[in-house]
Amino acid sequence: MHENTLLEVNNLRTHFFLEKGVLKAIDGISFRVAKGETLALVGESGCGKSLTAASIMGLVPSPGKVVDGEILLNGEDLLQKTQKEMRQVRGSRITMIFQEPMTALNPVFTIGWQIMEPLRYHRKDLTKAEAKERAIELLDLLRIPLPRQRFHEYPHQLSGGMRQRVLIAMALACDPDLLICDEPTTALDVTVQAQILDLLLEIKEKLGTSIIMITHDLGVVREIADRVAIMYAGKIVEENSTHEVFNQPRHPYTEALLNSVPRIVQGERQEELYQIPGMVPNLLKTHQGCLFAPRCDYAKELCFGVTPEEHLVLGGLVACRRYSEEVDLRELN
Amino acid sequence: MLKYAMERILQSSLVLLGVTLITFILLNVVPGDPVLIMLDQRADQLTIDRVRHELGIDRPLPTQYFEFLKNAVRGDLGTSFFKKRPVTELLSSAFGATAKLGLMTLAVSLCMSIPMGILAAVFRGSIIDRAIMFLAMLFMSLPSLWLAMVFQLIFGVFLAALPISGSETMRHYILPVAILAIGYAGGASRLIRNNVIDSLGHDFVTTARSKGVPEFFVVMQHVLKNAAIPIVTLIGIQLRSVLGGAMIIETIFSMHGLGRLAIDAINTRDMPLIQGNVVYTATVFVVINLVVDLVYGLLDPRVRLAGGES
Repeated sequence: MHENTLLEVNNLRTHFFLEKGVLKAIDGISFRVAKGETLALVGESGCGKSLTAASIMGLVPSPGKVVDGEILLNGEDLLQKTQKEMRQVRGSRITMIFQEPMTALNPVFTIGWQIMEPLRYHRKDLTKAEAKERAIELLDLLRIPLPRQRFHEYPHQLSGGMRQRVLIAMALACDPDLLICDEPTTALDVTVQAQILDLLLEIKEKLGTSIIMITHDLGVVREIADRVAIMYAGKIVEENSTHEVFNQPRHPYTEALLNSVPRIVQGERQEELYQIPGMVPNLLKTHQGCLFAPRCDYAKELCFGVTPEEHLVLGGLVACRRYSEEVDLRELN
Repeated sequence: MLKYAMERILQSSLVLLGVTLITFILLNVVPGDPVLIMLDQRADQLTIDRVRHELGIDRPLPTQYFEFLKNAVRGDLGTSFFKKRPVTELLSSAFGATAKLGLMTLAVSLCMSIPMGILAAVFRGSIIDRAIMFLAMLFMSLPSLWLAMVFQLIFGVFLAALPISGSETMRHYILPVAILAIGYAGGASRLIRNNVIDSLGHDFVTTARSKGVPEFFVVMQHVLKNAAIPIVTLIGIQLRSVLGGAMIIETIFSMHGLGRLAIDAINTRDMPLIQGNVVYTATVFVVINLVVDLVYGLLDPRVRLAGGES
């Protein structure tokens, strides 16, 4: 393991055991997050990005189960930990913020109480007064005006953007090593989105927290991520630095995703927006070959028969047959 | 808040006024003459007229009603036709037994239904859930009349362990409280289960778990406080109904509570006593509704602050 690595996920498989069969929602993904790095997990709905977060947190909802793999946080395998040990990791070393700030806070407790809550369980050395000071300090850090007053307010008295800040404050309470953000800006206005992203960038800079940013918004990715992992149907199809992914997408799916983003250029009429044909595969069925093949513009006969391996490319990995050496040679020549 | 309270009190007075008026009209419409019930069939017209005059029911109806209202606001609900004692005195003496029975029933039923509901919700779909819900269904379906007789037979006759009639000592309350509580707990545990399940599905539960909050506190703090409002509503409804007196159970166990007093009053067309009973019951309703509303405010800041702003 690289010494700079904070989190390393190896061959993670999370399956749902349904009456209709086994749904392989995450099927062997591997990635790593370095200290202070921001990794974006990108993909369309249902590709397993949120479930990846739940697997790391140890909060996979029933009937789902992590069936294989390793999740190493500073070298310790989280999957080997007991429920009780995981509770000590959650909220202190790994924390999470969610998509819906309107509902992610408990309406019947003050925001101060909710920010102090993780401190109550993880920082037993703090007195109540110290915990309160810490909470106010966090509100201040997240640029919430009048933090002392806000401390006593209830979630419904705050706007969506303010609530998301409260959630971030809560997530930062115990100085986590890793912050997982599950679509933190999706439910917010564009202007508020920008403010929240700026705050996250600032936190990253100031506190050196590693971030996993789960999103389907490529604009957010470009803004905040150092590296990007593109997920499709429970697998990571491409992983590389943000720069590489945006400038030279290698996987056909990545390319298709980037093409689906509308570009606004002054004075130019946008041609019809690109759309990826077809549908996401049904993961309850067993598939042969590349899962993206039926929707892929480059698919060859071989793609439908053989599962693509991961290939090292400049700065990262891509799981597409086009990059296997022999094919490369044959096709490129 | 003061404005709100004033509004509520005014509203309540109107409710009470309406209730007394309707009862008064109904009492004079339904068949059955208290004087004929009181006197023997053989009583002559002269005697009947005399008694009518003594009771004051020979006067025109509006006069009777306004007379009643005038006395009622001064705390005098008249005198029972039959028992010849002030209605307020009869009510307050019966209230003791009913309040004891009612509050104990409520306490016991909550001690049963809250754990049942929470357990069933937390272990939703499991054998625990199914067993509890079966029990709840059973509790709801057993008629208290039948249960009373069975319990009297088992505990009173076969085991001879508990008294089956009267309301003198605390031991007299064990069977009636158990029977009433079983009835209330059935419905309550189902309602609590549904509310807890509902609250468990909220995003803030995931947030709490992601903060490393132990599951016990997730349920007991985050979930329960959110599920509390419908439960408080239910407690309010149950409290109103237990304080109204348990007619069947009080009659079966010969307890001198309000339920039995009401039955006696109705059987004999004892107008002042019926009227008094109705006024009392309506007052209990109004007061408990007010208290329940205030408790909502304590539990849910959204209600509290909305009330404060108006």
